[in-house]
Amino acid sequence: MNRDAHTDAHVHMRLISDPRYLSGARELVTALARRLGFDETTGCQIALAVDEALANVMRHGYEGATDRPIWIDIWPLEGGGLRLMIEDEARQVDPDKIKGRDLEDIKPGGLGVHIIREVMDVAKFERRPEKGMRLTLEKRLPEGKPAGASAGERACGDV
Amino acid sequence: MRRETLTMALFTAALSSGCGGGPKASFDSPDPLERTLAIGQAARATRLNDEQLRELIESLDSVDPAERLYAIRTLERETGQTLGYRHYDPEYVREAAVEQWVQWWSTRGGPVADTTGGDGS
Repeated sequence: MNRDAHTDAHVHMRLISDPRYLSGARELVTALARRLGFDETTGCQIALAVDEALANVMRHGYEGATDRPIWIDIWPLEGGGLRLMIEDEARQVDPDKIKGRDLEDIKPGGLGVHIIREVMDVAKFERRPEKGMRLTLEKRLPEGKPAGASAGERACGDV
Repeated sequence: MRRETLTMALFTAALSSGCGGGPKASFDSPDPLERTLAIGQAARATRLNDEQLRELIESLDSVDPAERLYAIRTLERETGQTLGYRHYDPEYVREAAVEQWVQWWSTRGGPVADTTGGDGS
């Protein structure tokens, strides 16, 4: 099945698992989040979560291979907010076993899942029917905040 | 706040220093692994000394999200406060909170006694 031809996402992007493209994905997500009504701080937080998710796919799913596909689909949420879906063709793992390392065990790496869950309202890992994994992320706009573009631009800096 | 600026601010406020810095766990290392190990060493201390607190505040400004997360968790455990710092905020938001931490550190009455028995790194 041609993955790129079967989506109703408002934004659909395919990139290869090369870390050079992480910054581009972050910038896209930040800009779209802002257009969907999030303030700049939340937009940067969402971009950080996506960055961690993509880095996990590249580092662990594809074990550093830089030529494998990753798809990012984005939809606005009814009532305000956004849904992102990140899919890959990496080795499948039990979604129930995807959890961040014990935070008392202080050592580098392995905190992407913690960061994703802290930032996003929903973070659901599942196996794709064909192959690979799928991560669905959702972030709702705060109550009472109308959907729509927020004004101004500001760089997130090093997320 | 850039690391160099933060380092300068903290050193200006510092009344003492005493970080020995081991080869495997060092806040001064350019290697995130060694800096994170240093945070782990600090986190295991029963009470943080002044230098460890200063180093942890510096780690709040790290480009490594994991280092920031561990640093604020350790500081919160020690002091019971975050001063508004969130490790996942963008840099320009974190800067303001780091300033709060620098202010807190520099106005808290000078160095505290080292009760950890460690070398502070």
